[in-house]
Amino acid sequence: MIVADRLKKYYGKNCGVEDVSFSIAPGEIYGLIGPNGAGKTTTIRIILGLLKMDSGSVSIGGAGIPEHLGRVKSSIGYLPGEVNFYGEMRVKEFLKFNRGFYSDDLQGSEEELVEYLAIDREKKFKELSQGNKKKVGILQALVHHPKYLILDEPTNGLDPLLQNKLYQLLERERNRGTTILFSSHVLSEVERLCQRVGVVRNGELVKELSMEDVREIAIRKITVTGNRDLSVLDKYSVTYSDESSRVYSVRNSELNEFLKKLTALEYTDVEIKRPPLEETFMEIYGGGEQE
Amino acid sequence: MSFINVFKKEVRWNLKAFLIWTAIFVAFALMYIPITDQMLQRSDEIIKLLDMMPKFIRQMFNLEEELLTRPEGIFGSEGMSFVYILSAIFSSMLAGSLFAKEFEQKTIEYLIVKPGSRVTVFLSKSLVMILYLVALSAVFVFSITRLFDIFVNASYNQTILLGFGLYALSVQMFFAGVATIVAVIGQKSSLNISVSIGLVIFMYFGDTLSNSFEVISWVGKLSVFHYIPLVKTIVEERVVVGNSILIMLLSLGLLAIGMLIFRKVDVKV
Repeated sequence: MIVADRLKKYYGKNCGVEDVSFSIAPGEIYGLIGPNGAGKTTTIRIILGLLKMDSGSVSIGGAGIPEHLGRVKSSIGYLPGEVNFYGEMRVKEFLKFNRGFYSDDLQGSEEELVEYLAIDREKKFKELSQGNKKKVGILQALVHHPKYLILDEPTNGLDPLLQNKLYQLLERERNRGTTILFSSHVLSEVERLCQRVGVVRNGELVKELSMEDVREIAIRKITVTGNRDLSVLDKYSVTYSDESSRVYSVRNSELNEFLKKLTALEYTDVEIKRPPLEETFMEIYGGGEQE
Repeated sequence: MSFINVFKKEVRWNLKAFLIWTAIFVAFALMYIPITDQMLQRSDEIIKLLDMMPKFIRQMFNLEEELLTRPEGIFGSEGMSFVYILSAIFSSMLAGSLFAKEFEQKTIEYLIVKPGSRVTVFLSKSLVMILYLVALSAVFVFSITRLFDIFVNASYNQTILLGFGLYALSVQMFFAGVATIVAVIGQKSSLNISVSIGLVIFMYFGDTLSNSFEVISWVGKLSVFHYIPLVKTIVEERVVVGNSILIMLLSLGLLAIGMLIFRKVDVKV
């Protein structure tokens, strides 16, 4: 179990996090979502003992952090948002170095992940693309079958194929009973993977949502082109309009009804988009100062 | 397990820098020592020139008559000054590579999250640093004693040459300690080098100037070089072993402070 209780961290006068509390049970994937600069990474770095908190407490598997971090370190897997390993090392050298931290024989598990993620072991780390660096990052986070998995914006820089592979790996880990915390600003992946999410904004965990809540707040931007009389859709919020088209902001729960009304009309084109999380949050929780 | 793992990695990835610096030290000795006999033959001319100089200028640049009439004095006066400066640069670069670079390249995050405490990481890196400093000093001593043996026909005191190695190691250890503290606080290798070079210049010239001007004698007392005096060592033919050991103990104290900071410091990546 990972438990964070009233975490507070300031960088000088600037707020990193102000009041963040949550707990994650074994076999659960908990998503920490929020716009850039909301305090997700600061929260993760406090949990990992990389940053000192000003107040609050964290425990992983009952071990208080940072005092007893050593007791659980071998059970933690961590994927940073920006993967930085040793540029001059070849991937195979890095993997050997990484194996050296664990007493278990990891070669079988390493081999499986290298093959699954199609990692080139001969290249130097500095020669890898961002996506390939991330693959190595995923491998080192998962290879020792951690009980606690912490991922900071794991799909950043990954192509859709690799994103799917990562989702499958996370599902597998969850089924093994791993406690998973991951941060994201992509609502669709949170919807797909998590059991619960914590919404972080301006350093505070403003709301904890079930997946039903997430689906409820998820918004679609629907652009309708080519109909002059759209009065039947007037109850929905319009975020843009010109002579030929209108953009509606429609909640997921209202989507069916909206589409039914729309199909009764004549139009030349329709486009449905998932807006970025920031935009969704602006609409749901309003604007406000960010970190 | 983590200790050995980090230790092996650091030994391997700093070996190239160590070999380059070893070559620089040996090349420097090789450039300087073979001309010792010729310098001695011309020492009369040099002494005449020195007699025309004000005393404080001679003191500032270690141009003492007694030094320039002995083989170990010729190397010990100017040669060792450069060895001190090179030693300080090598130590701070090594500390930068072991500590500051990890912060700069953000790899410290990986290292700290993996099994093993921060203290383990610090100690394994520090041991590599000490190992390389001792190895460099050993190669330096070996090369100067062999080169004296090969190229210098005049009689000289071998113990003084061994003392030069001990002094070089003391200087390296001291600046390694300082640079480690700067590295874990500043988390930037450029800052490390700047502070170390600034400090070595301040301490070296502060010491020589304070020998000539009473009014700034306090500056000399702040300098590590004040406690391992080259001129006195050569003139009195006595290596200041006690002070060298104290400097090395002080350096270990600086490393311990570095470790305490490293244990608590926020990883600002």
